[in-house]
Amino acid sequence: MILRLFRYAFTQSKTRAMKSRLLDGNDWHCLLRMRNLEDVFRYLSATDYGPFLSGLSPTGSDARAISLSLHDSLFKNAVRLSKSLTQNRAQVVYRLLARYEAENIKTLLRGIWQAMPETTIRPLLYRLETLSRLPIDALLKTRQIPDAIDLLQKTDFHASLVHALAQFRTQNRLFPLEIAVDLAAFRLLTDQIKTLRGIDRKQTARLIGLFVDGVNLSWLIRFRQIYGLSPEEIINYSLPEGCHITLRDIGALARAADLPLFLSTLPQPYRNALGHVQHWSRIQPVFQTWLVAGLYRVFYKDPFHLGLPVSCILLKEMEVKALDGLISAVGAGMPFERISQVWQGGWMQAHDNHYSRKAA
Amino acid sequence: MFKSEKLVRITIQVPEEFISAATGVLARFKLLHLIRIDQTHLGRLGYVAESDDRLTEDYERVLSEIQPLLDSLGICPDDSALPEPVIPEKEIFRITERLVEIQGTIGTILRDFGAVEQRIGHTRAMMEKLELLPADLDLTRLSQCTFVNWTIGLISSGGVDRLEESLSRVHHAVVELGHIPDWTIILVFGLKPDWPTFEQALKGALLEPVRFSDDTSGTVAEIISELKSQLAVLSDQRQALFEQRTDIQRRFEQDLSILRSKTISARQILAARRLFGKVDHSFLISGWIPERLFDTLSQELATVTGGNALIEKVNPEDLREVREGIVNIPILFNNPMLISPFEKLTSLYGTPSYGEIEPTVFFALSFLLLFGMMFGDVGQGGVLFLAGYLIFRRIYRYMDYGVILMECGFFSAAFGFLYGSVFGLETLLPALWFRPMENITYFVKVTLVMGAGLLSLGMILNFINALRLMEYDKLFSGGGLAGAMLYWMTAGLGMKYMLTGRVAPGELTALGWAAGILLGVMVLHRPIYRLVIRRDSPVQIIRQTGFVAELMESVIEVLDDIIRFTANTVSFIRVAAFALSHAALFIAVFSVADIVSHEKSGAFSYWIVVVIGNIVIILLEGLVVSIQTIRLEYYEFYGKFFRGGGERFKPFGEADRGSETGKT
Repeated sequence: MILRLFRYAFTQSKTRAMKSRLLDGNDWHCLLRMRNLEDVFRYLSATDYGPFLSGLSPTGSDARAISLSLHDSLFKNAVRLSKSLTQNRAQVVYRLLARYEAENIKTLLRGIWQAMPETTIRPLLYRLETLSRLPIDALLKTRQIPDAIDLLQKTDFHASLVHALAQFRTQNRLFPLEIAVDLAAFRLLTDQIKTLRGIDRKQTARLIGLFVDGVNLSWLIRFRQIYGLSPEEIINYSLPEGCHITLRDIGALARAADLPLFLSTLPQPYRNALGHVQHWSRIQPVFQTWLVAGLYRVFYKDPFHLGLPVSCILLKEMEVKALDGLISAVGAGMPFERISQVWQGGWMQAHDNHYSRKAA
Repeated sequence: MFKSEKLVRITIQVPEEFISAATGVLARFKLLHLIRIDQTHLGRLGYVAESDDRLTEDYERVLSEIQPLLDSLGICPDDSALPEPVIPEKEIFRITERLVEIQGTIGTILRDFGAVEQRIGHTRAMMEKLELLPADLDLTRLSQCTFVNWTIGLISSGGVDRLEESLSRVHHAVVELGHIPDWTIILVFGLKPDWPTFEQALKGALLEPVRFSDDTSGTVAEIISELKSQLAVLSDQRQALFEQRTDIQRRFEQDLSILRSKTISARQILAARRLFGKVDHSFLISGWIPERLFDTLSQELATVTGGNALIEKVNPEDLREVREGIVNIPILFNNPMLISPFEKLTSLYGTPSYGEIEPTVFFALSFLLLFGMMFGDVGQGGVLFLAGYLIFRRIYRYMDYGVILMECGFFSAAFGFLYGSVFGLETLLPALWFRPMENITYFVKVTLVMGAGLLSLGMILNFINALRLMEYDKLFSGGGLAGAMLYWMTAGLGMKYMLTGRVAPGELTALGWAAGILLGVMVLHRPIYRLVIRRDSPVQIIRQTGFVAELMESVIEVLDDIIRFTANTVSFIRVAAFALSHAALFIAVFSVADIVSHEKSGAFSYWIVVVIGNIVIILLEGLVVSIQTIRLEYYEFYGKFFRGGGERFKPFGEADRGSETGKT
C-alpha cells in the first residue's frame, strides 16, 4: 500500500485536477438549453475546451472539424496523465487511445478505396501526434489498399490487416479490414492490461471490461438493427474480455427475436439497469448513464491504482462524444426541447447523481 | 579569413530567347545568391517573370517516371555536375524521347521480372500455409465428400471460440490442425444444406482460406513437393531475368542518372525564374556574387548569349538600400579547410552581418585551446582523433564533425604531453609543462590570464567592428574603448599582484585616478559623443529631453559592465576546474582498479576497470568539456563583439539539389 501511495500520489492528484475540469451538471444544464452553435461555442470557450476551439468559427466550421478539435483536448489530457505513469502503465493509456489510431487507419483506407485526394482525407484524421506511429504522409500518397497495408508494417495493426486481406478481396468491400482494425485495437489494450499486476490489473480490467460490454452491446444493436447482419456473423464481431457479458450471452443476444427477449437475455447487472428501456435506440444512452456512474464511483474508493486515470480518461472521452453529438444536433437545427429529451436521463442524470452525492 | 568573402551585386539583363541558356550557366556556376525580384522596387511595380507551370508539371511527371526505373534497377544516382547548361524548354523533348526509348527497352524485362517475383511470393506463401497442415492430410479424399462441405484456413487464435459459438446451432466440426503465433489453422466441416450459415460465420470470423486449385489432389506432402519443383523452375527463370536486369542496369545506369540530374536542374531553373524580373522581352536577374568571379561569369554569359546579355556590377557600399539597412548583404564564409567546419558552430550562435569581423578562426583556435587544456591526455586525445578520422572517412554527412573531433584529439594529445598523462597514467611520460593536480594554484592563475587574454581579444574585435560599422558612440561606452582600458589596467595590476605578490601604492593611486576618469567617460559617453562627433553645444545636450534618465541608465550600464567583466574573467576558472575534475576522475578509476586488483584474477580486473573507466571518461567528460567550451566561447567571447543579424549566402542551384538528394 505504501509503495502504491508513493507511486500514485502525483498521478491521483493530477487525475483529480483533470477531473475537476470536466463539465459539471450546471454546465450540461446550460448547454442543453442552447439554441444555436454560437451560444454553445461561447459557453465552451470559457471551459477547458476554449483553447482547442479558438481556431474555429462557430458558423463556418463543419461538424468534423469541431469534433476533431474537441478530441484534441482528450488526447492532450491523456498525454499529460501518461507522463506521470511508469512506462507499462502509460502504455495502457496509449493503448486506450489506439482506437483512434484505428479510426485514422479506417479513414485512410476509405479515402484510398474511394480514390479521394490527399487534401480531402487529411482534415478528417484525428490529430494524435505523439500517440500515433502511423506513416500518415506516405499513406496519403498511396493509391492501393495492399500498398497501404504494407506501409503499416511497423505498426501493431499490420498482422490483423494482412490476415483480413483475403476476406477483403473475397467480399470486395472494406468492412473486413475495418472490423479487423477495431478488433486489433481492443486486443492491444487487453493484452497490455495483462502485463499489469495486482490491484492495477484488477481495477483496470474491470473498468475496461465494463467499457467493452458497452461496445459489444452497441455493436450488437448496430449490426442487427441497422446493417441486418446474421447472428452467425455478428457473434464473430464481438470483443473478448467483457466484464459481465460472456460469449455465450452475445450468442443468445444476437439470436434474440425482439427487444423484450433481448433485455431479458441480458446478464445482471445490465438486466436491472436496462430492463425498463422501450426502444433499441435508448439502450446506448441508458447504458452510458450507468457506466458514467460506475466511473465516478472509482473516485470515492482507494485512489492509488491505475483505474483512477483510466476512469478519468474514459469520462473525458464520453464527455467529448456527448459534446460532439450535442454540437451536431444543434448544428443540424434540432429543437432544444428534443435535445433535452434525448440527453435528459443520460449524461445529465449521471452528472446530477455524482454532484449531488459530492455535495452530500 | 577574418572577413567574409567580398561580394558585389550584379544585375543581368538577358533577352527572352537566351534566358534558358543564361539560367543554365548560373545554375552550373553555383555561386550566385539570388535576390527575389518581388522584394525590389521593380518587383513591386509588377515587373515579375511568369513561371511556366505546365512545363514544371511535365518535369515533375518525368521525374516520377524516372525514379521508379532507378528503384527497380537498384541504381543509386549520383549528383555529379552536368557537362553543359540545361535549357528547360528544349531539354524536355530530349529527356522524354530518351526516357521512352529506355522504357521500351527495359519495360518488358522489368515486367517479367516483377511477375516472376510475384509468382515466387505466392508459391512460397502457399507452401508456408501447407507446411502447417499434417503431411498425410489427403485432399483427394476430402474432395470426394458427398454430404459435407469443408474448408481450411487461418483464424486468429481468439476467434476460434467465437466461431464455435456462432456455429453452435448447426451441426459442425472445427478441427484445429496447427498453431502459429496468434493464429490457428483450422479445418471446418458442415452439412451441405447448412453451408450458407457456415459462410456467414466464416466471413465474420475473417477466415483466411487456404485455396487449392480445382485439380489439386494427393496428400499435403505431395502437393508441397510439387510446389517445390515449381519454385525451382521459377527461381531459374528469375535468375535468367536477373542477369538481364543487371546487364540493363550497367547499360542505362549513366543515362538514367544524367536524365534525372537534368530533370532536377530544369525544375530548379524553372522555379528560380519566379525570382526573376521581366521588362518587355528581357529578363532581369539580380543577385550577389563573389567579386573575384565576376569576370568569369561575364565571359561565360557572353559566350552562351552571343554577347546579348548585359551585366552590371555594383559595390554594396554604393547601394542606397544597403546603406539604409533595407537590403541585407549575404555572408559567404571564406575559411581554410581546417577552420571551416567551425562555421557550423558560429552559425548556431548567429550569422555575422556583412562588414563585421568573421570570427570563426578565433572561435576555432580558442575552442581547441580550451578543449585541449580541459581534456589533456595523450591516449584519450588519440582515441578522439581516431574516432574523428573514422567519421571523416566513413560518414560523409558528418565529415565536418569528424574534422572537429580530429582537431580536438590533436590538441588534447598535445596538452597530454604538456601534462605528462597517457590514459590517466602519469608515470609513463614526463610532464613537459606541469601536472594539474600538483599545481592547482598555478593552473588557476594560468586560466585567469588566458581568460583575460580572450576577453581582451573580444574587446579589440569589438573596436574593429565599431569602426567598420561606424558605431562611434560605442567606443566611449563600458563595452568599448573606455571599458577596455579600465579592464586592462585592472587586469594588469591584478596579474602583477599574482606574479610578484605586491603592488606599489603609486600604481594603485594611478589606477584610482584613471578609473575615476574612465568611469566618468563611460557614464557620459552619449553626451561626449554628441559633443565631440556631432558637435552639439553643451546647452543643447543638457536641455535635451530625457538627459537625466539617460545618465541614470548609463550609470546602471556601467555597473552592469563592471560586474560582467569580473564575472567573465572569473568564469575562466572553470577551465582549470574541469581539467582537475578530468584528473580526479582518473584518480577515482585507478582507485577502483586497485581495489579490484586484490580480488581473484586481479590483474585482468584491474585493466578491465581502467579500460571501462577511460571509455566513461571520454564519453562523459568529453561531452561536458565540449559544452563548457562552447559556453565560454558564446557567452564570454562572442558576447563581447558579435552583432549578428546577417543572412547566409544561399547559392542558386545547390539548396534544391540538396533537398532533392535527401528525398531520394
